[in-house]
Amino acid sequence: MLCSADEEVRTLSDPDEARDDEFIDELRGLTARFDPTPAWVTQAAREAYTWRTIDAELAALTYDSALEDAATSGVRGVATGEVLSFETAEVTVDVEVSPAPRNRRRLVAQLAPAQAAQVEVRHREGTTSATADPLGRFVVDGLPTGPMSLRCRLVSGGELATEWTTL
Amino acid sequence: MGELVRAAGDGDAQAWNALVEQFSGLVWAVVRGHRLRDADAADVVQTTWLRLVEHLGAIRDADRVGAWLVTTARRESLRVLQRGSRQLPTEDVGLEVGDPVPGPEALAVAADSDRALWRGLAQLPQRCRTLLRVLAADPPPSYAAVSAGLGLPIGSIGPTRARCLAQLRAMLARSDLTNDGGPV
Repeated sequence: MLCSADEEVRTLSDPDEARDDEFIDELRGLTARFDPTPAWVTQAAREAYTWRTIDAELAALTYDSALEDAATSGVRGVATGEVLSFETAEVTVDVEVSPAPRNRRRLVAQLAPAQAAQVEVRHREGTTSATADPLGRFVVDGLPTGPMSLRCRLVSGGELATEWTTL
Repeated sequence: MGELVRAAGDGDAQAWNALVEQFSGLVWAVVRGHRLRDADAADVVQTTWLRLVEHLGAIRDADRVGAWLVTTARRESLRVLQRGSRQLPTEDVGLEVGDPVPGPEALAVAADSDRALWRGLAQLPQRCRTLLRVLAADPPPSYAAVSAGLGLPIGSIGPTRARCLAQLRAMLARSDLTNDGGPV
């Protein structure tokens, strides 16, 4: 096998590593044939950019009952909803996700501290509007599965967006 | 690459597209390494990119963005897997959440050795499968991104890779023995 001086040095010092490099290259070739990134998945990634917002404060996902259950008990939970919590420095959004007919999802959410808000649910099919009552509660039904983010315009002023999360 | 991240953060859609071009294969490799079936895999990939859109302002470095994408895709894959396992009856878990059946047409016409290698990869334990899929992403990721994204010290990537590939070779050797019924 012909190689450059550099490669030769490395090959001599660690033939196993060179052999592993070749094996990985072979796997790369197989991946390209058997499981390439679907073009529409890459196209959707390009289009993600159109959701860019710069004015809302980001509320990070801080709690997920699915992960919590797995970590604490190792026991599969019953089919109650999954509970997610998102937080900014000032506001918490608790969201219970439950199944709705035809593989849709229902959200029951609560803002704390309690306050009214205009809510826009962003999802793969577009946006769905909702209104949080003065106690900070709102319900959204019939959402598609897939990525979801809540954008809340608070009556106290200010705007937050929850981190995108897969429903 | 840092320039691209900055430019995308400032509203340059072409810079964003260049980032997608660079890392699309890597993100796909992570979710497939977790054996997510097609619909879930696509959802997790999309969530990962949407999260990057909202975090652009906070990431300022090329290798960091690769690592960040791997970490985010890995966590979200685990979330979806965990949730899926809650919703499916136990007896279906292996089937439903298990092997996606990627590229059946391509597989059908592939050489036996390629097919055996691909199946062997799918049967490796998750840690190995994810590491090898990520290393075999196109274009190849930096070791820094693999290290930070998968939580492996840089120095242990080579040895871990060697162990995983040895396991894969052993698996292929066994299937050769089983299948060797005479001259082909």
